Amino acid sequence: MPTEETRIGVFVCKCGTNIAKVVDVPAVADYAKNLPNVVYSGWQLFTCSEEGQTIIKEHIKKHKLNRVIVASCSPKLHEPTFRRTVMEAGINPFYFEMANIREQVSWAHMKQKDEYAEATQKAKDLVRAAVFRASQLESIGSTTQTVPPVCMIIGAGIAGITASTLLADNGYEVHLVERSPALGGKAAQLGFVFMTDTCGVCVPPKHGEMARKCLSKRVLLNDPKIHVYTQTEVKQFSGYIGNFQAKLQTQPRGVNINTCTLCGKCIESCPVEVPHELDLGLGTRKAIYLPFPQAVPRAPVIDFESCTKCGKCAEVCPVNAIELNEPPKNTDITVGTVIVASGFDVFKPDGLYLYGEAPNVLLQLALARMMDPLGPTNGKLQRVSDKQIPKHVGMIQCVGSRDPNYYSHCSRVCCQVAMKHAVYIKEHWPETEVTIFYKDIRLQGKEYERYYLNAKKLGVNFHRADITNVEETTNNGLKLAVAHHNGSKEIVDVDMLVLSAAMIPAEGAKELAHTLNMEVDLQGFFREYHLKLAPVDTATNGIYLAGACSSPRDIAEASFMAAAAASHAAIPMSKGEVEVDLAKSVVDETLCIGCANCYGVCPYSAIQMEGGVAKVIEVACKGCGICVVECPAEAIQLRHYRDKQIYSQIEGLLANVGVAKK
Amino acid sequence: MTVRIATMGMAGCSGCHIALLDIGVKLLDILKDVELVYSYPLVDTKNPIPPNIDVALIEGSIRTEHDKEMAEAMRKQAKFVIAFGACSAHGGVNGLANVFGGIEGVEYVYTKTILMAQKLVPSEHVPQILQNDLRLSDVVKVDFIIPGCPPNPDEIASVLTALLSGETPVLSSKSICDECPLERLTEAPTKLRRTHEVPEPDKCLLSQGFLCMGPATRAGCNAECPRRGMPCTGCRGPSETVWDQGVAMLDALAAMEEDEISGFKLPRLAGTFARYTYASSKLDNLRKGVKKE
Repeated sequence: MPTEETRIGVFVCKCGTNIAKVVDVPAVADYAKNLPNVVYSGWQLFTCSEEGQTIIKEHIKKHKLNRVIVASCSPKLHEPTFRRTVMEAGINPFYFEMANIREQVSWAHMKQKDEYAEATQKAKDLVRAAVFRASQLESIGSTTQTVPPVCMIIGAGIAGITASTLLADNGYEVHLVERSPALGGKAAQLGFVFMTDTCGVCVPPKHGEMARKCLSKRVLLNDPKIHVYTQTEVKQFSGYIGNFQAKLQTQPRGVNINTCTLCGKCIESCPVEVPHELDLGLGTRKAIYLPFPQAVPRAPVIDFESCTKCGKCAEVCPVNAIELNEPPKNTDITVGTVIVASGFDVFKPDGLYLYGEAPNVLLQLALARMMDPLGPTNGKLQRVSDKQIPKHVGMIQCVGSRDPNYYSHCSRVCCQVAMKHAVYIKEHWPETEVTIFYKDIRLQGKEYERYYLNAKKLGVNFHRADITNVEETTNNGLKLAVAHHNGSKEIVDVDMLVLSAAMIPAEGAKELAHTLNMEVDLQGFFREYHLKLAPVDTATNGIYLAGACSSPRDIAEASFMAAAAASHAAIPMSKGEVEVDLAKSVVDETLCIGCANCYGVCPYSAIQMEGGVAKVIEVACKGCGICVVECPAEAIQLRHYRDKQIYSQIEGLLANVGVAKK
Repeated sequence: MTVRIATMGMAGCSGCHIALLDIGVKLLDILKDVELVYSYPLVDTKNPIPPNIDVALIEGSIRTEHDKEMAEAMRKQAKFVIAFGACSAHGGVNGLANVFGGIEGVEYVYTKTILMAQKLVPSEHVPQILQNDLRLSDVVKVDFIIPGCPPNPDEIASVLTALLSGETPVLSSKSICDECPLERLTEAPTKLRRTHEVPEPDKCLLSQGFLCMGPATRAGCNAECPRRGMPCTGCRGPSETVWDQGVAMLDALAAMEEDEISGFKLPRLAGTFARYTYASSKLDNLRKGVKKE
């Protein structure tokens, strides 16, 4: 390829007065005329305007420019604009270079009038650096990656189910992967949920239908577009958008869900009885059990950890659905996109407020189980110790939340939950007193305030206070030492104490983040790509977040987010491909020594080791450059930020002070 | 036509000269066409440097005013100057003195260590010591380097043979790993191990956690150390593309757990990652930072 002569055009922008007020823009443009390879230099009032861009195109034609530099604002703002401009004039977009003389010069110095002359000099220095760099730039193309219309959704809680139904209704194939034996997630545990006071296993109506779908109607299992995997975890995960490979491992259920008629004989016959984890110790279950009465899939499951394999269930089963020696099953799937909706867990406040020591201290989630008409007490409020209706229920808010010793975040739902339960208690057992001890009441959602007003009207006591000590009394009651925020102190006796414990990252979230190579935030929740601008995207292209796995959310928010994630995931799947520019890492295979450092540090799984050398998957690479730094043999370079490009930029920057050598 | 060769030793151990002799029988072939006009270890001479030297091999780093003068004098007479060995090419082990602040380290050695009876920095009848240890290219233009501590005799022979036949010698642009027979593991180290621990045979030392400098070090020695289970110490200096040998290896370990590498204070950092290149390493900037405290 013959080396063409470098012909640089420099366009300095006044940005109205934004730059011109501080920097002598015409002087900068004049200065640039004498820099190496510059064949045109001029200034405009607004370079980003339609006229400004037309002028750039005219000069490209007139002076046969092959490199374009605009000295204006931050590349974050207008680099895409000008890249398009030069592309329209027939120049490769990566032959465009920007000098930031607004954020880095005029705005930085606008308050000091005596710095204006130096600011102009600084603008000249930055333009010079850009000119030096421009001559080292290379033309970079793009490639496309096909994206099959298949999405894997991890977690079948309210968010995962919502996203699944939305995507399936839009015609996409969904693999819905759930760790537990039944669908529904935490919502299925709740009995009834706030705002609507409806059953927790409801899912939103399908598009065009107003009828509410209930999980017990097998809506998901019967949908031909949705493949449901229960008791399944993602064991291995690799690939990139359009080509994610997942290895799913399904634990044996022990019961064939296709032949089981749910007669219940196996459950009756089972001799093993253990505490039911769903009921948080309030009730028991057999080793073969239905997770909860409305559970989907509609078949019992065997807990092989407590099962003795006595075989009684197999004897009584009329349809021979019991399979005691089924091995775990592995399934490999290839998907185009992934939605992570793995949800949350509730903080276990062991050692706080006598939780785990006194029988009548329990979590809001356990109280929710009690309120469930199909729960362990059939909807009856009772003390764990003596099954009596408590006369006074105390609730402590922010247990583990907003607490520097545990989790600093607000769990967002506990105020509503406490309010919901307090109202429910007052409506059904009006003589029971309810007292809520809170730090702040935070009810910001639609219709939430109604609960608060209702709770107050029904006589729920609200005390803004800290509980400094809890003691158990002789009849398993609890004596609370209350320090009111107004300074007064008192002792309050309650029969039952309910703790509003924090929503925390789900058990195994860290491992899942590791498997999927996702970032987590300080609390351990999955990190979104941008809190405001890309809240459902992750750093990895093609992986999206929904629900409480990225932050505490209530059901309504989880549903919004699931819809957003479904719509984001649908974009590449409906286009069928993604276009990716190749301003990415590139490996010099003759220098690569195969140490796999880059493979280890790549946050986007964009590097594979093949035949002893690293290979960059350009579609997955985001061009962050970590691998470039990490490579001990310096065999990896970034196409748009090669060493020579950066060195020449530095050389240009320092050319005036005479210290640049390289 | 005979080629006039000179050799010279600065701050070094003469090991490079020994390596030159270690070429063995092949040296006889080379010497057929060579006139050795100046060589202090081989020819006992105090004579001034003769003119019209074709190739000069200069061993050792530049540590004193005398070294500097001699190097400059040799440069004037020689058409082709080779920095011979690690000290001359990159500053060598001597360069680690710079960690302790050049001249301050010298004062410490002469006045604080027990072997020095007089507790006095010598100043008479000895050349003035320089502030810092320098590599040859810091004082004169260098045409070629033969790296290594000591250089590989085969490589010396091939460079000389190339020069004698009028060709331009070339060094490998790759890294030690390219010559290393150990099996590459596609996983980066997660834990550092000390040299006295026994590595699994036939497996890459670095991925086993041994600090092998191979990846950032220039090939050409046939990976003699790692193939015998000794991690490379980096005596051949940075490979062609590597900007700074020590920095490159440090970068490579940056993804490890903090506790694994936080124990590396400056002297250990320099001695481990820039054992032969500290005098020419960017790590030297760290010293300036450290001194501020």
